[in-house]
Amino acid sequence: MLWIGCTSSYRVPDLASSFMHILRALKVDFKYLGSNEGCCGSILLRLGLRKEFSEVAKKTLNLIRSTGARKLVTHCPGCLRAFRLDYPLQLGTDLGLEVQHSTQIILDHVKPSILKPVEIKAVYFDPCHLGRHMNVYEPPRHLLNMIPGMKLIELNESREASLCCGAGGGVRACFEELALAVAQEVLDYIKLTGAEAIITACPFCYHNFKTASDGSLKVLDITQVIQASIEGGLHGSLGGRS
Amino acid sequence: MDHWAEDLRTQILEGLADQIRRIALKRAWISYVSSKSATLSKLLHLKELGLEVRRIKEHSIEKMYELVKEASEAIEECNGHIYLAKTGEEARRIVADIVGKGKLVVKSKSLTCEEIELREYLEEVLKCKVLETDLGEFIVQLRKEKPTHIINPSIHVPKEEVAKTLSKLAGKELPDDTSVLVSFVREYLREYYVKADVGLSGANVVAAQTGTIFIVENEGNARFSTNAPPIHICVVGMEKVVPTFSDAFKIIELLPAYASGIPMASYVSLITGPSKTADIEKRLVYGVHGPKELHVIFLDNGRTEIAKHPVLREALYCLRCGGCLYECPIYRILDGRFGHNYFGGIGSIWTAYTRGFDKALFAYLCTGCGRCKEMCPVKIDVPKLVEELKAELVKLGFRHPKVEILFKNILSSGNPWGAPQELRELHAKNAGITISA
Repeated sequence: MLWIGCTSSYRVPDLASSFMHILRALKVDFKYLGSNEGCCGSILLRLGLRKEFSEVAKKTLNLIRSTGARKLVTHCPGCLRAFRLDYPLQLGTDLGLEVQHSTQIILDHVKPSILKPVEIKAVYFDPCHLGRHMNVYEPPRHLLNMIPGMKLIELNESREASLCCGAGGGVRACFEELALAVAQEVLDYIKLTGAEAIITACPFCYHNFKTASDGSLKVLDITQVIQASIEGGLHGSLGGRS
Repeated sequence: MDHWAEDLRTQILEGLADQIRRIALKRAWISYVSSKSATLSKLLHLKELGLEVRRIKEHSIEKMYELVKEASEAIEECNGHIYLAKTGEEARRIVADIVGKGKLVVKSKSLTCEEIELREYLEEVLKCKVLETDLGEFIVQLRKEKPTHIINPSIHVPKEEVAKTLSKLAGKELPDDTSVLVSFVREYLREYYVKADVGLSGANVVAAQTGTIFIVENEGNARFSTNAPPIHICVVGMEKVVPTFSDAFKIIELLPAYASGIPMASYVSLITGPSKTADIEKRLVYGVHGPKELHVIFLDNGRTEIAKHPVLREALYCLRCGGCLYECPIYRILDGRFGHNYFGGIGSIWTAYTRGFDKALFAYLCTGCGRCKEMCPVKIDVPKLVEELKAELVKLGFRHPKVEILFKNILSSGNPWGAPQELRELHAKNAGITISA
């Protein structure tokens, strides 16, 4: 079952669509709760509201369990972290099913033969919630390296030492100017590498970079890049959006 | 209580607009990051040593009281005086009794003295003349500002501004040439070391077994201040005591790379009691070339409380290298504005317990990214601590006003923005997916 998450659903729905496009192209069977999907509650916990988080988390836990799904795939690393780390810690119980990130399921099903060239020089940006918090560093890199024409630039500040987009911990929600200033610094820094694009794998990073960007560096989510590669339409879908 | 969030925002906007400070800070962290990386690639064992030091700190905090007692006995045995101050107020009174009124004091940089605002107390209440002898502290003192970094207190002041400040003191125009400025300060401070009645310092580590105080520095000012005056007062946090001499050395070996990006600091002073001689007829006399009196004040000021907290006690493992600050995305933009008397994520816990929770609301500016944890030599889980602190802040009523709305929306609409849930089906439709669950 897919768990798209609130940020992907409402702030950057294009990414949610791209993810679903990819799964359909890879012929992966999945279920999606649509308007019945809820909130993982992560934002409340990040801002210190433990009681309120638990209230929301219990509801969401019951909702997910009631579907009988055996595996949950989150689009958002924030939801992934909440389900895998925070639910057990705060509720004393996990979801009782496997929880994966979108990049992991895509990697499990993609075949190199369906990927068409995407000629771009890009930096992959490790989202904090996916990398440092959940230790998922390789799947996104594997995926991007499978794409013909993709030239990935590895920053010194990557993986465990990755920079932060500025949106986490409720900072984007509560102090937007600060979050955007952090994102601006990262974008300026990445421009110095000669990259044409920054590719991330988190709707928070994407949304924050996108808002901060003046357009001189393309801001992309990995799902958009893979969809473009599958459909062979870099110039149509990627070029137009940034 | 909501105005605090607006105040924080005002502080952020000030910081974002302060181009001069941002330039100075950027120069500093870029230089720090490159030297540290060169040093760490040369001293490969430091990563492993960091973990060993963590174990030493874990053990030392567990036994904090016993170790302070052991250190106190050792210091007394070599004719030093020891005190235990529960609060900042108590520490200030102890210092007042030793120093007296209207004295000349030379001080080396100490976060612990800053924590209890000791210089201000000596100046304002005891009418002493206090000279900060660390260059950065000296600049900040002259500018009547507050330090903005624990290792480099004047990191927010670019050299052009330093030149202006020192020119005023010199009574003539000094160029913004760093070496000229440094020479001026060297000449200016020199005579005060000899004239001073009291030298005031902190300590980086204390070895309990021998009662030895370790002070690490690069400038040589701490040596002068703790050696030339007849009385040396050392104010040290209780968490700084470790069991043995060799434990202390491990911390000293680790510090400079993370604090300044260098393999070793220029000077490490080891002080075990006041100066002494038995050269004439084997009769022991105290006070030779170094101080005649050594006073060590162990400061609690909230440390016992932190040690009792099952999660936050990890904050006491902090060696105060300040390395995390230069690596923090928020500090890199806001410098000292992301802090109070201590800075950054780890600083929010220290501020809460040493100055009050209402001063620690800058914790809400932490993105929880966890870069600091990776960069920390002893791997303190700062994001976890900050989240714990935020939960404490919420209990005290300091919850961000926006979070109330987010929570209500999640309950009523299933998402933080209170948007129609049907919108969640739009992207599926756009992808040509029929909802089947």
